[in-house]
Amino acid sequence: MVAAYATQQGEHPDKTAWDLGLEAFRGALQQSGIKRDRIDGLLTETTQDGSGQMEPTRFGQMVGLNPRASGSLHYATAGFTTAYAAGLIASGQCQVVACVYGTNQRTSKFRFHRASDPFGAPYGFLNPAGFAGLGYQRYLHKYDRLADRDKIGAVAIAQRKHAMLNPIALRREPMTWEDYRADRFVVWPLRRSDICLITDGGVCFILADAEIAADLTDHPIYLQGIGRQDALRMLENEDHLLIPHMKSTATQIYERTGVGPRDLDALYVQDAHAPAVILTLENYGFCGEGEALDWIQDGRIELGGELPVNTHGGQLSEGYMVGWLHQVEMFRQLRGEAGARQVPDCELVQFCATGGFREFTLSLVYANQP
Amino acid sequence: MQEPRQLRNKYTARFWDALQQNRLMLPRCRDCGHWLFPIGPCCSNCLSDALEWTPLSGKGEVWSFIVYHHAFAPEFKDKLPYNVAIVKLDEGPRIISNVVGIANDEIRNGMRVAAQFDPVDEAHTLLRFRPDATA
Ligand SMILES: [Zn+2]
Repeated sequence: MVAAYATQQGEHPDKTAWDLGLEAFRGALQQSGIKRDRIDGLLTETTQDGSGQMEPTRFGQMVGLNPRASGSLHYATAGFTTAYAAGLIASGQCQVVACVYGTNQRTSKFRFHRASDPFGAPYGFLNPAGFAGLGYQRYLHKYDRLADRDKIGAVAIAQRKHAMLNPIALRREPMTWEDYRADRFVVWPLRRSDICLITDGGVCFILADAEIAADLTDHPIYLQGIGRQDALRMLENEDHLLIPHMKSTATQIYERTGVGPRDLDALYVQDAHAPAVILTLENYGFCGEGEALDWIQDGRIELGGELPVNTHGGQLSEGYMVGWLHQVEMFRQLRGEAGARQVPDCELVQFCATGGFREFTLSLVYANQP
Repeated sequence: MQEPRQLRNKYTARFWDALQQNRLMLPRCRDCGHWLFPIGPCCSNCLSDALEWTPLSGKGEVWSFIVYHHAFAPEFKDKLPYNVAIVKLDEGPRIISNVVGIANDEIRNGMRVAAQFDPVDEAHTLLRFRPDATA
C-alpha cells in the first residue's frame, strides 16, 4: 500500500458521494506524490443506497483514466477490494491500483432499513443490527452469559477513547461506563453505542506491485497475506450467527503469513457492531471461545493495552465506512504517522472483516517491511 | 419495506398458498431428504430436481431472538417493542418470525413453539409462532 487518504467524517451536506470519493482520490495522489497517469487499475465500492454513485466507469471518466482494469464491488468491500486489487497485481494485469469509496448516506438520510433477510421483512426484521443482535443473543445464551450482557460495553468505550485522539472521527466526546449503561437499546441485546455510526466521507487507498512500491513513496506498507472463507448456506450452517467460518480464514491467514495472534501490534476489526469484535477475538484465537467478554476488560484492547483494537475509533466512533477507514489507519500506524494514538514500534497489524450478513469473511496482515 | 406479495415468486408461491390454507409446507428432496429453506429451484444439498411439497409439523424451538425498540420503517412504529426470532423447526430449517402470545421478556432460547397463521391481507398469511401448549 503506497497511499491512503480519508476525508473528514460526519456530515457533508453540500457534497455527493462522487465529491467525497473524488476528494479522497485527489488526497491520496497528493499525499503520495503519485501521478494520476501512473494509476493503471481502478476499483470502487458503489454506494449502498441504490443511487449508483461511485460506479467505476463514471468515476473513471470524472478523473480521466483509461486504466488497464476497472471494476467495483458492492457493500462493505474494503478488504475484499484489497483482495481484488492484489489479484490484479499478482497476475500482472495492473501495477498501481487505486481503490476508492465515497458516500453521503448520513446527510441523504439513507435509513438502512433493508431487511436483514428478505423473508424477514414482513416480521419487522430490518436493518443489519437485526442479524447482529440475533448473533449476540445466541452467543450470550450459548455461553450462559445473559447476565453479563453489558460487559461488551468495553468495546464501545475503548473505541471512543481512541476516537478522542482522532481529529476526523465523528464522535469524540468521552463515554464512561455510566454513560454506556444508561444508553438506550435499539435492538435488544444491542444498545445504540454497540452499533456503527452512519457517516458521510471518502477514502482512497492505492496498492502497488511490491517491486515498485518503494519507488512510488517513502514508506510503503506491505500486504503479507489474505485469508477468505464464505458461508453462503447461511442459517443452514450450524451456529452461522457466531461466524464459525472465521476459523478457516484464521487458519489460512496465519499459515500463509507465519504470523500468529500473539505477534500483532494492533488489530483492526470491521465493527458494524460491537459483537463483531467479540466473535473475531474468539474465532481467530486471541482468546478461548466464550471468554472474550472477560478478555476485553480493564483496558486490554485500548491503546497501551495488550492488543489495541481499532485505534482510530472504529465504526462505533469514527464512522461507518464499511472497513475503508481501517485500511487508512493501518497505513498511518505502520508508518508511525498516527500522532497521539500511535502504537509504539508498530510493525505488524491484522484486519478482520465480515461482509454481507456475515456470510463473507476475510483477513489481511500488513507489515511495515516487505 | 418488502410486502409479502413481493416475496411471492415462482419458487415461493406454493409456500404462501399453503399458509393461506393454514398449512406450513416446504419443498423436500426425495433423493436426500433435505428440506429447502430458503426455497429454490432445486435441492441445495444434492442438486436433485426431485422436490416434493411436504407438510411440516409447525413445531420447533426458539433458536435466538431480539427485541426492537426502534422502528426502522414507519409501519412498525406502533408495534414497538416487538420481537423477531429465529425458530428452528423440528424438521431442521431455521426461519425468521415473531413469537406471539407471550411477553418479550419471557421468551427463552429453546422454548417450544407452534405455528400460528396470521392473515395480513386478502392474499397473504404470515407464519408466526406461539408457545406450544402441548409441550
Ligand atoms: Zn437433495
